Amino acid sequence: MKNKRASATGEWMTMLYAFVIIFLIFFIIFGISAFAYSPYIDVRDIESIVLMKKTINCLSPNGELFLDNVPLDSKNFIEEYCKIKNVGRFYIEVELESDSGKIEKHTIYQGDSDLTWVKNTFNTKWVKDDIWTYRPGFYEDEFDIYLIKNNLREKGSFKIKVLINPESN
Amino acid sequence: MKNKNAKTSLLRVIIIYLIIIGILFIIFLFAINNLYKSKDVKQQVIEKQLALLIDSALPNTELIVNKQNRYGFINNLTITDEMIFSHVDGNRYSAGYPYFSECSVSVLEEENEYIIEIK
Repeated sequence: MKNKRASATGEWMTMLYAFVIIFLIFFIIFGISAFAYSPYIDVRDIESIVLMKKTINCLSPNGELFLDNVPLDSKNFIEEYCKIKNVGRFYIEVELESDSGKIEKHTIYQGDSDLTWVKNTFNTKWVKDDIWTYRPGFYEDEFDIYLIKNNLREKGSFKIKVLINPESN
Repeated sequence: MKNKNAKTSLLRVIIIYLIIIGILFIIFLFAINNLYKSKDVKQQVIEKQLALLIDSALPNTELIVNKQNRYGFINNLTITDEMIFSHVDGNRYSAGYPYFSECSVSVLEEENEYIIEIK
């Protein structure tokens, strides 16, 4: 003879046991992920715009760039000439070219140029979701400018490229 | 009769499992919500906003930050090695965020606010 009440109680007990295990696994997973994961707020693109403006204000505050004053060969011009600190995460490249070609083309840069191909890698299809957090901040622009060298004043272009690495913390 | 009982039992189990899944889903949503409103995130927002303000500020600018603001209560706001650290609602850990201003930056603590001086 089958005891229906005992059978039902047994069923409930088995079910309760399963639920406890499910909840336990759920909370363990959540507990671990809460410590391991923290939402990240990306401001690197904005930083690159701010840095671009600072660099322009430093090199050419009124639309004229005196090539004799700028350390064209320096690989540290942002720190030395513009006095901007904490630039370890940045790559800045400035290309100066006169329209007539009377003033030779100059490229000044500071930082790790490898960031350029890292940034290009992120433009490919396979980069998705989480890895996107490590994408360098990027901004590039071009402006008209007057280049002045040896009393020669020529209209030209000022191309700037700024890349910012993720902070290391 | 036996078949009807089996169906009722199966339906009962399905309903219970659906309720359990619903509860887990609600807990999941609340957990995600809390994760995005956590002290760490609030600190991150304050630090990054202030770092960007410092970066774009002209020399001789003062930034006033209320201790009690929409992100909570800022217990401590410090600047060390060109990095800004904020501690919100008693949180002891802060990763900080670097700024790159060419100016000299310092923080003064007042009764209800912090004054960031950019010189």
